[in-house]
Amino acid sequence: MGDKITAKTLAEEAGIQIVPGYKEDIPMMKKNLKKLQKILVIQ
Amino acid sequence: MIKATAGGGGRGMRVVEHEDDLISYAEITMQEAKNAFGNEKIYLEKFIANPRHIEVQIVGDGKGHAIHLGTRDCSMQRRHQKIIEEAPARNINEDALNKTYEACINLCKKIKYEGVGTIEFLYENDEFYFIEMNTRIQVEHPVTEMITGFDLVKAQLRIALNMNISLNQNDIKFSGHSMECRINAEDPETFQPSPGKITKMHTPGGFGIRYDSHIYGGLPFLPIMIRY
Repeated sequence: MGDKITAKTLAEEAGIQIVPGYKEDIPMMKKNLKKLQKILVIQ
Repeated sequence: MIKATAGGGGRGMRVVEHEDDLISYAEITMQEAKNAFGNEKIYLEKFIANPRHIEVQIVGDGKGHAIHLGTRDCSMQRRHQKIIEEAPARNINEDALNKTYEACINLCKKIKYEGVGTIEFLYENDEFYFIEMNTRIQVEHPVTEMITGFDLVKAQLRIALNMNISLNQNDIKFSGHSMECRINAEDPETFQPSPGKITKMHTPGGFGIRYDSHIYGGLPFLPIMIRY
Protein backbone atom coordinates (compact mmCIF):
# COMPACT_ATOMS: atom_id res chain seq x y z
CA MET A 1 0.00 0.00 0.00
CA GLY A 2 2.90 2.33 -0.59
CA ASP A 3 4.38 4.00 2.44
CA LYS A 4 2.83 3.89 5.90
CA ILE A 5 1.37 7.39 5.72
CA THR A 6 -0.49 6.53 2.52
CA ALA A 7 -1.72 3.31 4.12
CA LYS A 8 -2.91 5.12 7.25
CA THR A 9 -4.73 7.70 5.16
CA LEU A 10 -6.51 5.03 3.08
CA ALA A 11 -7.41 3.08 6.20
CA GLU A 12 -8.81 6.15 7.93
CA GLU A 13 -10.91 6.99 4.87
CA ALA A 14 -12.37 3.48 5.00
CA GLY A 15 -13.44 3.97 8.60
CA ILE A 16 -10.58 2.16 10.29
CA GLN A 17 -9.34 3.72 13.52
CA ILE A 18 -5.66 4.65 13.35
CA VAL A 19 -3.17 5.37 16.10
CA PRO A 20 -3.46 9.09 16.97
CA GLY A 21 -0.48 11.03 15.75
CA TYR A 22 1.05 13.53 13.40
CA LYS A 23 1.02 11.97 9.96
CA GLU A 24 1.85 14.96 7.82
CA ASP A 25 5.22 14.90 6.11
CA ILE A 26 7.79 15.99 8.63
CA PRO A 27 10.21 18.50 7.12
CA MET A 28 13.76 17.28 7.21
CA MET A 29 15.47 20.38 8.50
CA LYS A 30 16.41 20.74 12.11
CA LYS A 31 14.69 24.13 12.48
CA ASN A 32 11.46 22.54 11.32
CA LEU A 33 11.84 19.71 13.78
CA LYS A 34 12.04 22.38 16.49
CA LYS A 35 8.80 23.89 15.21
CA LEU A 36 7.25 20.46 15.35
CA GLN A 37 8.43 20.01 18.92
CA LYS A 38 6.59 23.22 19.85
CA ILE A 39 3.41 21.98 18.12
CA LEU A 40 3.52 18.68 19.98
CA VAL A 41 4.15 20.30 23.34
CA ILE A 42 1.19 22.65 22.82
CA GLN A 43 -1.05 19.72 21.86
CA MET B 1 6.84 7.12 18.84
CA ILE B 2 8.89 8.10 15.80
CA LYS B 3 8.43 5.83 12.79
CA ALA B 4 9.95 5.62 9.36
CA THR B 5 7.32 5.78 6.63
CA ALA B 6 9.14 3.01 4.76
CA GLY B 7 9.86 0.92 7.87
CA GLY B 8 8.58 -2.51 8.77
CA GLY B 9 9.28 -5.65 10.71
CA GLY B 10 9.97 -3.64 13.82
CA ARG B 11 12.74 -1.63 12.18
CA GLY B 12 12.84 2.14 11.81
CA MET B 13 11.06 3.19 14.95
CA ARG B 14 11.99 4.78 18.25
CA VAL B 15 10.12 5.68 21.42
CA VAL B 16 10.63 9.21 22.74
CA GLU B 17 10.12 9.30 26.48
CA HIS B 18 11.41 12.82 27.13
CA GLU B 19 10.58 15.97 25.19
CA ASP B 20 14.24 16.97 25.00
CA ASP B 21 15.05 13.81 23.07
CA LEU B 22 12.59 14.45 20.26
CA ILE B 23 14.88 16.26 17.82
CA SER B 24 17.93 14.06 18.28
CA TYR B 25 15.85 10.86 18.09
CA ALA B 26 14.10 12.13 14.98
CA GLU B 27 17.44 12.81 13.33
CA ILE B 28 18.78 9.38 14.30
CA THR B 29 15.65 7.64 13.02
CA MET B 30 15.82 9.58 9.76
CA GLN B 31 19.44 8.57 9.23
CA GLU B 32 18.69 4.93 10.09
CA ALA B 33 15.71 4.93 7.77
CA LYS B 34 17.78 6.41 4.97
CA ASN B 35 20.43 3.73 5.42
CA ALA B 36 17.98 0.83 5.78
CA PHE B 37 15.19 1.76 3.39
CA GLY B 38 16.64 4.50 1.17
CA ASN B 39 13.92 6.85 2.44
CA GLU B 40 14.40 9.15 5.41
CA LYS B 41 10.79 10.24 5.85
CA ILE B 42 9.35 9.82 9.32
CA TYR B 43 6.06 10.37 11.09
CA LEU B 44 4.90 10.49 14.70
CA GLU B 45 2.21 8.59 16.51
CA LYS B 46 1.05 8.00 20.05
CA PHE B 47 3.04 5.31 21.85
CA ILE B 48 0.70 2.58 23.04
CA ALA B 49 2.61 0.96 25.83
CA ASN B 50 1.17 -2.50 26.28
CA PRO B 51 -1.07 -3.45 23.40
CA ARG B 52 -1.91 -6.80 21.89
CA HIS B 53 -1.05 -7.33 18.24
CA ILE B 54 -4.21 -8.48 16.48
CA GLU B 55 -4.49 -8.89 12.74
CA VAL B 56 -7.30 -9.58 10.28
CA GLN B 57 -6.78 -11.87 7.29
CA ILE B 58 -8.54 -10.69 4.16
CA VAL B 59 -8.91 -11.88 0.57
CA GLY B 60 -9.97 -9.69 -2.34
CA ASP B 61 -10.59 -10.62 -5.95
CA GLY B 62 -9.55 -7.27 -7.44
CA LYS B 63 -13.10 -6.68 -8.67
CA GLY B 64 -14.53 -5.20 -5.51
CA HIS B 65 -15.37 -8.43 -3.68
CA ALA B 66 -13.62 -9.14 -0.39
CA ILE B 67 -14.02 -11.34 2.66
CA HIS B 68 -12.27 -11.69 6.00
CA LEU B 69 -11.06 -14.91 7.54
CA GLY B 70 -11.05 -13.79 11.13
CA THR B 71 -8.30 -12.73 13.46
CA ARG B 72 -4.88 -13.85 14.55
CA ASP B 73 -3.23 -12.92 17.83
CA CYS B 74 0.47 -12.29 17.28
CA SER B 75 1.19 -10.54 20.58
CA MET B 76 3.90 -12.98 21.59
CA GLN B 77 6.91 -11.20 20.11
CA ARG B 78 10.53 -10.64 20.86
CA ARG B 79 12.49 -7.73 19.39
CA HIS B 80 9.32 -6.93 17.40
CA GLN B 81 9.45 -10.31 15.69
CA LYS B 82 6.52 -12.69 16.03
CA ILE B 83 7.26 -15.92 17.88
CA ILE B 84 3.86 -17.53 18.53
CA GLU B 85 0.73 -16.83 16.53
CA GLU B 86 -2.81 -17.98 17.32
CA ALA B 87 -6.13 -18.01 15.54
CA PRO B 88 -8.62 -16.79 16.42
CA ALA B 89 -7.69 -14.03 18.85
CA ARG B 90 -9.58 -14.55 22.13
CA ASN B 91 -11.09 -12.07 24.59
CA ILE B 92 -11.75 -9.38 22.03
CA ASN B 93 -14.63 -6.93 22.38
CA GLU B 94 -17.25 -8.23 19.97
CA ASP B 95 -18.64 -4.84 18.94
CA ALA B 96 -15.18 -3.46 18.25
CA LEU B 97 -14.28 -6.59 16.32
CA ASN B 98 -17.38 -6.47 14.12
CA LYS B 99 -16.80 -2.79 13.36
CA THR B 100 -13.20 -3.56 12.49
CA TYR B 101 -14.19 -6.42 10.19
CA GLU B 102 -16.62 -4.12 8.42
CA ALA B 103 -14.02 -1.39 8.04
CA CYS B 104 -11.45 -3.88 6.72
CA ILE B 105 -13.87 -5.09 4.06
CA ASN B 106 -14.71 -1.47 3.20
CA LEU B 107 -11.03 -0.74 2.71
CA CYS B 108 -10.52 -3.76 0.45
CA LYS B 109 -13.58 -2.93 -1.62
CA LYS B 110 -12.57 0.71 -1.87
CA ILE B 111 -9.13 -0.07 -3.27
CA LYS B 112 -10.36 -3.17 -5.17
CA TYR B 113 -7.79 -5.20 -3.32
CA GLU B 114 -6.45 -8.17 -5.27
CA GLY B 115 -4.98 -11.19 -3.50
CA VAL B 116 -4.57 -12.17 0.13
CA GLY B 117 -3.52 -9.65 2.70
CA THR B 118 -3.38 -8.85 6.38
CA ILE B 119 -4.48 -5.72 8.16
CA GLU B 120 -2.57 -5.34 11.40
CA PHE B 121 -3.79 -3.59 14.53
CA LEU B 122 -2.72 -2.69 18.01
CA TYR B 123 -5.49 -3.60 20.46
CA GLU B 124 -5.83 -1.99 23.85
CA ASN B 125 -8.81 -1.14 26.09
CA ASP B 126 -11.29 -2.64 23.64
CA GLU B 127 -10.05 -0.44 20.80
CA PHE B 128 -8.35 -1.40 17.53
CA TYR B 129 -5.69 0.91 16.07
CA PHE B 130 -4.49 0.35 12.52
CA ILE B 131 -0.74 -0.24 12.16
CA GLU B 132 -0.24 -1.34 8.57
CA MET B 133 -1.47 -3.62 5.83
CA ASN B 134 0.73 -6.43 4.59
CA THR B 135 -0.14 -6.98 0.96
CA ARG B 136 1.17 -10.55 0.78
CA ILE B 137 0.85 -13.99 2.25
CA GLN B 138 2.29 -14.04 5.76
CA VAL B 139 4.30 -16.61 7.67
CA GLU B 140 1.41 -17.10 10.10
CA HIS B 141 -1.23 -17.82 7.44
CA PRO B 142 -1.45 -21.57 8.36
CA VAL B 143 -3.21 -20.87 11.66
CA THR B 144 -6.03 -19.21 9.74
CA GLU B 145 -6.15 -22.07 7.25
CA MET B 146 -6.36 -24.57 10.13
CA ILE B 147 -9.47 -23.00 11.66
CA THR B 148 -11.28 -22.16 8.41
CA GLY B 149 -10.22 -24.88 5.98
CA PHE B 150 -9.67 -22.06 3.47
CA ASP B 151 -6.54 -22.51 1.35
CA LEU B 152 -5.03 -19.03 1.20
CA VAL B 153 -2.16 -19.91 -1.10
CA LYS B 154 -4.52 -21.56 -3.57
CA ALA B 155 -6.76 -18.47 -3.45
CA GLN B 156 -3.79 -16.19 -4.07
CA LEU B 157 -2.70 -18.24 -7.08
CA ARG B 158 -6.21 -18.40 -8.52
CA ILE B 159 -6.62 -14.63 -8.17
CA ALA B 160 -3.18 -13.99 -9.70
CA LEU B 161 -4.07 -16.25 -12.65
CA ASN B 162 -7.40 -14.44 -13.11
CA MET B 163 -9.27 -17.70 -12.45
CA ASN B 164 -12.75 -17.76 -10.96
CA ILE B 165 -12.91 -17.59 -7.19
CA SER B 166 -15.99 -17.49 -5.02
CA LEU B 167 -15.63 -15.09 -2.11
CA ASN B 168 -18.72 -15.40 0.04
CA GLN B 169 -18.44 -14.41 3.70
CA ASN B 170 -21.23 -16.81 4.66
CA ASP B 171 -19.13 -19.74 3.36
CA ILE B 172 -16.41 -19.08 5.91
CA LYS B 173 -16.89 -21.20 9.03
CA PHE B 174 -14.58 -21.03 12.00
CA SER B 175 -13.79 -24.13 14.00
CA GLY B 176 -11.31 -24.74 16.80
CA HIS B 177 -8.15 -22.94 17.78
CA SER B 178 -4.74 -23.06 16.16
CA MET B 179 -1.24 -22.06 17.27
CA GLU B 180 1.99 -21.68 15.35
CA CYS B 181 5.50 -21.53 16.74
CA ARG B 182 8.46 -20.17 14.85
CA ILE B 183 11.80 -21.79 15.51
CA ASN B 184 14.77 -19.48 15.12
CA ALA B 185 18.43 -20.36 14.57
CA GLU B 186 19.89 -18.62 17.61
CA ASP B 187 22.54 -19.10 20.21
CA PRO B 188 20.54 -20.35 23.25
CA GLU B 189 22.59 -18.24 25.66
CA THR B 190 23.01 -14.95 23.84
CA PHE B 191 19.96 -15.21 21.53
CA GLN B 192 22.11 -13.91 18.70
CA PRO B 193 21.49 -15.32 15.19
CA SER B 194 23.51 -18.49 14.83
CA PRO B 195 24.02 -20.10 11.43
CA GLY B 196 25.41 -23.64 11.22
CA LYS B 197 24.58 -27.19 10.25
CA ILE B 198 21.32 -28.78 11.44
CA THR B 199 22.77 -31.98 12.81
CA LYS B 200 19.55 -33.70 13.94
CA MET B 201 15.94 -33.08 13.25
CA HIS B 202 12.71 -34.74 14.31
CA THR B 203 9.58 -33.23 12.80
CA PRO B 204 6.34 -33.24 14.79
CA GLY B 205 3.33 -35.18 13.58
CA GLY B 206 -0.08 -36.44 14.60
CA PHE B 207 -3.69 -35.34 14.46
CA GLY B 208 -4.06 -31.60 14.06
CA ILE B 209 -0.33 -31.04 13.61
CA ARG B 210 0.89 -29.15 10.57
CA TYR B 211 4.54 -28.72 9.78
CA ASP B 212 5.68 -26.18 7.14
CA SER B 213 9.38 -25.91 6.42
CA HIS B 214 12.09 -26.56 3.88
CA ILE B 215 14.71 -27.69 6.38
CA TYR B 216 16.03 -31.21 7.08
CA GLY B 217 18.72 -32.91 9.13
CA GLY B 218 22.13 -32.22 7.59
CA LEU B 219 21.11 -28.91 6.04
CA PRO B 220 23.75 -26.18 6.37
CA PHE B 221 21.87 -23.20 7.72
CA LEU B 222 23.42 -20.19 6.02
CA PRO B 223 23.55 -16.62 7.39
CA ILE B 224 21.34 -15.48 4.50
CA MET B 225 18.57 -17.77 5.80
CA ILE B 226 18.40 -15.96 9.13
CA ARG B 227 15.93 -13.14 9.53
CA TYR B 228 17.50 -10.50 11.74
